[in-house]
Amino acid sequence: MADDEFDLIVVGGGPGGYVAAIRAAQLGLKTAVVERDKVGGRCLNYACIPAKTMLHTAEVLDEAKNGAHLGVKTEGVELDWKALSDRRAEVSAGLESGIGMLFKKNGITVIEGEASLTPEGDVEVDGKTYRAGKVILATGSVAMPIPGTEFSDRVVDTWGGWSLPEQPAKIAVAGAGASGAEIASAYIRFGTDVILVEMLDHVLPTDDPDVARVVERTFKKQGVEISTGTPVEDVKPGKDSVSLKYGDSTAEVDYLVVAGGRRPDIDPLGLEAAGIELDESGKVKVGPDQLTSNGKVYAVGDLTPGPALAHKAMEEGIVAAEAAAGQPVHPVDMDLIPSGTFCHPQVASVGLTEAEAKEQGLEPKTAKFKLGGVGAGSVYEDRDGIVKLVVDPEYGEIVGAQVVGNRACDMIPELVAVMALEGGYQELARMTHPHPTISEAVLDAARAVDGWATHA
Amino acid sequence: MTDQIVMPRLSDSMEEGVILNWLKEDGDQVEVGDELVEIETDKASMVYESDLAGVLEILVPAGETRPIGEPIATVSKDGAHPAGNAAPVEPATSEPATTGEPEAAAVAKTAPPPPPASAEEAERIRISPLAARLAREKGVDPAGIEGSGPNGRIVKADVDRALSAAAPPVPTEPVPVPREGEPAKGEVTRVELDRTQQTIARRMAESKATVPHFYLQATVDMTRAVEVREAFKEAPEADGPVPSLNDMVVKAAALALRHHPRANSSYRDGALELFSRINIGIAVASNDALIVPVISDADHLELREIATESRRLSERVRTGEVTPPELSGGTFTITNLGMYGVRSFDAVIHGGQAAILAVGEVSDRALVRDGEVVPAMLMDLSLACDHRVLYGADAAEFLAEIRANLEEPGLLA
Repeated sequence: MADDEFDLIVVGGGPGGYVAAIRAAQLGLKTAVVERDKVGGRCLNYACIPAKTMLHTAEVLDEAKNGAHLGVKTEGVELDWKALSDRRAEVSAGLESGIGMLFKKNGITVIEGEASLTPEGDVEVDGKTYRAGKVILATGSVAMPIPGTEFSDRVVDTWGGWSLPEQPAKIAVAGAGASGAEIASAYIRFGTDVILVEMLDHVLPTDDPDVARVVERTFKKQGVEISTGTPVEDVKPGKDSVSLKYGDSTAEVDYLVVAGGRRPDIDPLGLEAAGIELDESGKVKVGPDQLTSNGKVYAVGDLTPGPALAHKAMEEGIVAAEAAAGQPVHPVDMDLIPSGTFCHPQVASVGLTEAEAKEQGLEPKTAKFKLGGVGAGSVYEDRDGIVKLVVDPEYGEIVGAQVVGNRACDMIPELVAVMALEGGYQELARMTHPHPTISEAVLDAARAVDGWATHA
Repeated sequence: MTDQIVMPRLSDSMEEGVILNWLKEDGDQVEVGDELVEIETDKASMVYESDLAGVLEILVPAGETRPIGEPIATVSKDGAHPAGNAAPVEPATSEPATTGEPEAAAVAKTAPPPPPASAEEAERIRISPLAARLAREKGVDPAGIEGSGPNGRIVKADVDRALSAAAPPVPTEPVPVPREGEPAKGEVTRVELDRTQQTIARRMAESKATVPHFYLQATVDMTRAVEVREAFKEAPEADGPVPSLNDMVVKAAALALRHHPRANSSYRDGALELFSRINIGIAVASNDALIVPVISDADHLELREIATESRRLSERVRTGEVTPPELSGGTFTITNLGMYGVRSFDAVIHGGQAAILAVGEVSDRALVRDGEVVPAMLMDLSLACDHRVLYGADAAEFLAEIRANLEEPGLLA
C-alpha cells in the first residue's frame, strides 16, 4: 500500500477519533489520524480534563480553608493562579503525549492539518489527497454564543472560562447545565464572586429536580448568586469588564462565561459533496454501525445524534472502527450513556429521570435514599446527597438512576452495569456492598423501592 | 487410584450433554465396557460405556447438563468407595489438600451430596434476571428462546420478541364470543417438546431466518433410472439390497458435488468453508423428530453400497440406536417426500451447509419429446440454496448435472 493510502483515515484526534484509530489498528487496519490542532481533542486539551484539573484544586483549596473542624488548622492558605494554570497545562500535555505514544505503539500515522472529504470519500489535507478504504469523521463540536452576543476578550466560552489569565474578582456564567455548573462551582471556591444565570427553571435543567435542588442549595450556601428562568440579555463588553442584564437585575463583571449549546464542527469537511446527509438538528445521520449515508464514511461523537459527551464518542469510535474492519457490530446503547457533572457535589445519572419515564408512558416507581443514612456519608461529610432510582414496577427493570454526592460520578458505573446486564432493583437489593462506603446508599435505595431500606 | 470420567464429546457440534440416566449406581463396581450412563446431546441420546474399571462415584445426578470435558463421575481402582476414602481425589490440576486439616478434608468428602439442583440450575440457561422474571411471569419457557446477548444470553428483548411472536394476531373484526368456559380453539393440550425437537425447532428457525434461501426447480425424466433399478432387481441378491431411486439421487448428487465445490461448503463468518469430503445427509422421519443420518464419502461408494448404508442408517434411526457419529459431518442434505405422493416441495437448509435437495414423487406423466407426447416417469427436484454461497447460475449448473446424472443413469451404476 502506498504511503498516501490507508485502510482507514480518522478525521479528528479527540476521544472519538483516537479511540477509533487505536481499535482499528488493533484489528490490523493501516490507520491514519488527521488532526489540525492537538491529539486528544477538545476534551483532553480544552474541556473535560482541564476542567477537572481546576475543580480538583478548588476541592483541595476548600478543604484546606475549611478543615478546622476536621482537625486541620491552616493559616495563610491562598490560591496560586500561575501554579494552577501551569498544572492544568501540564496535565493536558502529559495526556496528549500519552496518546501520541499509543499512536506510535499501534503504528498509527498522524497527518497534521485540516481535512476535507473529496466526492469519492477520500481525504484531502492541505491540498494533498490521501486515499482511504474507510473514513471515520470525529471532528467534535464547537461552542455557540448566546443569541445577540459574540465571543470576545470579555465574553468567553467554557475553555476561555477555564483559561483566564488571572483570577477574576467577579464572573457571570450564562447557562447552568453541566459546564456552567462546574465553572460556577470551581470559581466560587477559588474566592471569585459568581452569578449563575439559567434560562430554564432550575440549575442543571436536564437533571432530575430532586437532584438539582441539592446542588442549588449547596451553591447558595457557598455564595453563588443564582438566577433561574431568566435569559442573559444586553451583553455589553467593555475594555476591562462586561455588563449584562438578567431578569430585573444588571451586573458588571470581569468576564461573562457562556456555557450554552454546541454544534457539530463540520464546516470544513465538505459533507454535501461527499453525499453525507444531516438530520433536522444539523447532526450527521448514522445507522447503528455509525455509517453515514456515504457507504464508506462513518461518523462518531458530537457530530451524531445523542449527548455531546466524550465517553459516548469513545464507544461510538469503537463501534465505527469495528464496523470499518468488517467485524460484527455491537451498537452503543443510547439509553445507557451515563452523564456526570463534576461540580460540588457531583451529579451523575443514567437512563430516564422520573419525568422522562412518565413522558414515555411508564408508571414508574421511584426510591430516594439520602447518603447521610449510611455511615460513610457522615465520615466523608457527604450527608446531603441522594441516590434516586426510577424503576418500572412491572418486572422491576431499573429504567433510570440519579446520584448527587461528592463521589456521584464514581458511583454511577455500578448502576450502568446493573442496567446493562438487566438486573432488576430486586437483584441490586441483594448484592453485598462494601462497608463503610457511600455505595451502600445504592443498596438501600434499591431496598427502598419496596420500602425496606435498612438505614431509613 | 482414582480417575475422572468427563462429559464425552459425542458429536462434532456437541457443546454440552444432559445426563439422562445413570445405568450404574453410586458405589457400583464397574468394568471396562459396562454401559455406564445415558447421555443426551443436541442430536441424539446414546449410551456411554465405561473405559475404566473400579468403584463408581457419581458426581452429576441425572437431569443435569454439563459442558464437554467437565467431570461427571470418578472411578477408583483400589475397590474402596471414594466417598469413604481419605485419599485425595482431586484432579492433578487442583490445589493439594491442606495437610494441616485432614479431618476437615475427610468431613468434606463424606458430606451428603448437594441437594438436587433447582430446575433453573439444571437447565443452565444463560438469561438476564429481568428476562427470567418476565419469562416466568408470562409463562414462557426460556429454553425455547434464542438469546441475542453476549454468548447467547437471553435478554428482555428476546423474551418480548418470543411473546409477540406467540401473541395471537389482533382481530380486525369482532370475533364470535366463545361460550363461557370454552376457549375459542376448544381445549388446548400442551405438548412439551423433547430436547431433540427443541433443537430441531431452534435450528430450523435459525436457518430460515438467517440464511437467504432461494429455490431452483427442475423436472427429471427418470424413465431410464427406473429401468436401471429394474435391472438391479433381476441381479443376484448377494450384492446387497436393490438401490432405491432415492439412492440414485444420492449418488447423482454426490458425483455432481465433486464438480461444484461451493455446493459442498458452508458460509461462516464472512468466508466460505469448502469441504474435501462429500457426506450426504438423508432426512429420515422418526418418532416425531427429524433425524439426518449421514452417508459419508457418498461419491466414492457404489450404488449398492449407498443402498446398504442408507437402509442401515434408516433402520437405526427408527430403532433409536443411531449414534452421534452417524449423524455428524454432513456436507449436503437430501430430503424425499415422494413416497407420500408429494409432487414437489421446498426444504429448509441444514445449518452449516450450502444447499438441500428436496425430491418429489416419481410418477407416470406425459412428456413432450421430439414433438410427440410420450409417457415418461418424471420426478421434480427443488434445490434450496444459501444465496451467500451459491448464485443462480452456479446452482443451476449443479442442479443440471444432478439431472443429467439421473437421466443417464449408466454412470451411477
